[in-house]
Amino acid sequence: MVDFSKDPTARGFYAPERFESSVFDCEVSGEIPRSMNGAFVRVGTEWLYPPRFPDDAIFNADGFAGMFRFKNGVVDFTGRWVRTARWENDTAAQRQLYGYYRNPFTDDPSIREQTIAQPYLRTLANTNIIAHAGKLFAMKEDGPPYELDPRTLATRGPMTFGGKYRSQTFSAHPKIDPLSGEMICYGYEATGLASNDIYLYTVDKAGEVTREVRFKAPYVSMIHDIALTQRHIVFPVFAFTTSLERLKAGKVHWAWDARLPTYVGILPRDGGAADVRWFKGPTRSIVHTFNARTEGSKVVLESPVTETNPFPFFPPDPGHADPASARHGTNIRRHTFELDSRGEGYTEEILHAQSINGLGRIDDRYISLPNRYAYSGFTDPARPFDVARAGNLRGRVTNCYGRFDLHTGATSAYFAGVTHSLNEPVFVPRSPGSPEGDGYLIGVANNLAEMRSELVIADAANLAAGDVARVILPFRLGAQVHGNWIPEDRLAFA
Amino acid sequence: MADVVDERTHARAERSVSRRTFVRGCAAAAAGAAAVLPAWPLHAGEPLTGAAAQPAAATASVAAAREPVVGFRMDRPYLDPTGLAEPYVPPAGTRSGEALAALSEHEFLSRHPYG
Repeated sequence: MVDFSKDPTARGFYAPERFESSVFDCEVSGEIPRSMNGAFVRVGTEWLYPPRFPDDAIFNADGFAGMFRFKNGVVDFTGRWVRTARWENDTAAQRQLYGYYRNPFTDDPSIREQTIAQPYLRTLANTNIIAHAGKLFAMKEDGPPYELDPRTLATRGPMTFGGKYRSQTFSAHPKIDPLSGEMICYGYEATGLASNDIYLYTVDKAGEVTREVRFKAPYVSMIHDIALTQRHIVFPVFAFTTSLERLKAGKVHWAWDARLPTYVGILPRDGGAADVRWFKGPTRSIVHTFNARTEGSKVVLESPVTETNPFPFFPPDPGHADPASARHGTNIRRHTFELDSRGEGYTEEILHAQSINGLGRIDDRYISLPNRYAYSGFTDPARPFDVARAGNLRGRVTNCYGRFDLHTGATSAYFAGVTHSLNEPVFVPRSPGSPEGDGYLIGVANNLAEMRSELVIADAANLAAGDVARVILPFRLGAQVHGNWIPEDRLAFA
Repeated sequence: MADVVDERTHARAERSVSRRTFVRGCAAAAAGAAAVLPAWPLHAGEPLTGAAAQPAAATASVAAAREPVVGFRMDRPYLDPTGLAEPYVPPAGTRSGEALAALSEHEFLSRHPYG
């Protein structure tokens, strides 16, 4: 019997939904731009069975994929579980067998021996969803990606890349080079729990693995995202760390350790393990990146950066907390690495002091290339919020999308509404050849009063004007982690 | 005669109470309950289950002196075992009930003939 009463977070808008859905010709306010043909795909977390431990991390819920399919001004919606091996095992057992986030030592005894030996079997594929080489796949950084049918979102199974991808894990943020069509992907903890091994792969536009590089991080760390230039790959290593001892003690996978420095590894795209150059700097959290570029002998990385622990569900161990001098909040910073230097240091600039929520995006056609605009959700506490209808979340929800000009420092903002909380934005070009910034910023807005989710579509160059259109679902969507726009010609949608 | 009228009026009033007043009452009661509930309204005093109840399995920085609270971060509620997070208090009442409470009797019966 399913009983969520022991999970105090599973209430109200955030109660589990647990159903798969198909909505044909969704309700729309405004007018869907006719040029938007393709799909907005998203993946996030939805508990199939209640967590074994109520203080588990929210990232430990089952993967649930959603697709807003745009065709000639009409939008259909599909929502499906990602039926991982873990989902199938829980379904067969009719209960939650899996323990804390990425800690198999806390699993049910019936599976524990196997999941300790093969921790990648615990993956939930709940973090990102992308298309490459004609395939749609959902992924989480602790196991293989799972291929989904782009017409139905039915799960096809784990991807092996013809047996040539040998890391136990796969990143949630592979990068696709817009010029070559190659996918640069990697796995950290590549050889098992708490290992500092990184396996890096190049997968060509036909889906074939063409290159592998194996190297080690300075310490085992969450390498959730990387950045790509046309000449280099950039790996941030920062203060979320773990150890086998920690896992055996029954704790969640990550602990924030403010004593640890930040390392940034830079590897030439045609280089080998010996060519990795590690730069070292003060403690930071660089969970996501916007973009990077190589300028002569310099590599420039632009990212949402936090000086403190951004995730309260991955707390520090005693004595490892942030110093009082660390600044809270995430903002947009530029790190510049001089490859001709002999030292291990680098420079840091704050490009936009405004606090953002850390889920930063760009126009993906500019990945690895010089770009001007960054997009992110942020909280504007000066905007109105209807506490009576939406709860005591004034100043605590992401109520705006921002476009941040990295050249001029200008900012423009879209406001979602007085009862709304926004998921990550995604940029959709107006047309394949339109210049950077000419297009739409889209994302899911949760209407906390009406208990429904709405996909908002705004003109990215005129965010202050509000919606161009909203796609209104008659129900709530579970928490999204990441989403992406897939143009019509990238997948066999029909 | 006057008694009959009174009885009919009373009877109609009873039917009205059973529908609209119930909806109004639910909304008002929920709002009132939320106003007086403590910040940790859901499982105050209940022990955490499983490994979370054991010191070895609990998150390392748990301060035993405080009750866990449901905090709110990254647009999601989460259970903060330290008890230091600003509590999340969901909106009061059921939104659908609130909407129904605003309808007239005629509108209500027209749209929801079976209640």
